[in-house]
Amino acid sequence: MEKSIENIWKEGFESNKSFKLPLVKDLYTSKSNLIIDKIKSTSKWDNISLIPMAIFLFGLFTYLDKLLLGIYVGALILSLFFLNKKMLKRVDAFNPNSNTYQYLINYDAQLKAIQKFYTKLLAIGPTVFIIPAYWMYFQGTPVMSGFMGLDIYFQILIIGVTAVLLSGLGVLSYKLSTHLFYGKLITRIEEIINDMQELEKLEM
Amino acid sequence: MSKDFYTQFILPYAGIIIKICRAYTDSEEDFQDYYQEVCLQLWKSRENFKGDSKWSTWVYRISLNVSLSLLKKDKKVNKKSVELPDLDGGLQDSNPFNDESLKLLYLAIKQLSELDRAIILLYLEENSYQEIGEIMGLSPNNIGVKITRIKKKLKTLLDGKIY
Repeated sequence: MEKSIENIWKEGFESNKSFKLPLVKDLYTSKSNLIIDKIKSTSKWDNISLIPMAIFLFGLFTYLDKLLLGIYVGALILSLFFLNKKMLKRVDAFNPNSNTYQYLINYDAQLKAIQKFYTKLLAIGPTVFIIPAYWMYFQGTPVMSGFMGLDIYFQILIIGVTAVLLSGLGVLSYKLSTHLFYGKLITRIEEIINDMQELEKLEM
Repeated sequence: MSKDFYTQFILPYAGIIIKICRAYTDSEEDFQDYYQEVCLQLWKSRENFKGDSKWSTWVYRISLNVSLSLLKKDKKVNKKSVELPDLDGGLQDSNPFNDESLKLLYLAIKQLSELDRAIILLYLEENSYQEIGEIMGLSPNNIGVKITRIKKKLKTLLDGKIY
């Protein structure tokens, strides 16, 4: 006679009473490593994507007969690529084998320092580097002649407003892209740090 | 997680967690991850347990929620359809049960939909229709109907394989 599923379940587990319990250990370490690996791979690809962008813009400006501007923009983007690479190397230098909690605290602090640095860079960078690019782009065009014909105060005002707009746009786009690509991962790191802090309190 | 909490509130209910995690995982590695995550979530959610139901009901609820959400996440990450084990050909399933009938029953359970799996596990663990309904958010009557259908399906899947 066929056994009922209820009996199979009951009898089956009675003969399996000795199953080995999984160990609850290192969950935080493995979770943290997963998140950090994800941040590393995302930032690596994020940075690599600058290379095709540099090539594309160089090609575009060359096609538009603005070779100097193409070289300038390409060089700017490539400089950003090398700067990012240097920053990423600095973060990778942390030893993940040290105490997980300490590692996460250091990693989180390093990420915040990098974010602060890029926020400053993107607040100043576009003003300093893009305004000369505009000058190169519009040089010899009626737009530039019109601009040069303006009163000096108007010229300063236009440059000032453009600088502020570029700066705001740079910071905004950086914040937005960081939030989109890394926001969740950074929040998860912070959650793990909070959990571990709570655990430490309990163990004390 | 404090050792006291683990010994007092998890260890006595480890059987429940193991049975549920086994039903939603196909490898030993995944099973270990699911088990650990359930334990962690039980510890993290301990303050949300108001004592309105039994602690074991809470354990079922957390185990199922965690297993279902991890399964969803795994599917998203791997973007692969979970290959179902073949009841005729393979007993290569990772479940380490000595009992062949139990092994086959687990394989059959894994062929059910995720929610049907949860219902039948709760039923086999001798929870009342009322308790299953509370955990699943369905009325006891609906649970009764569902269980009859699931049992019929399992019977078809296991037809002639278990004596």
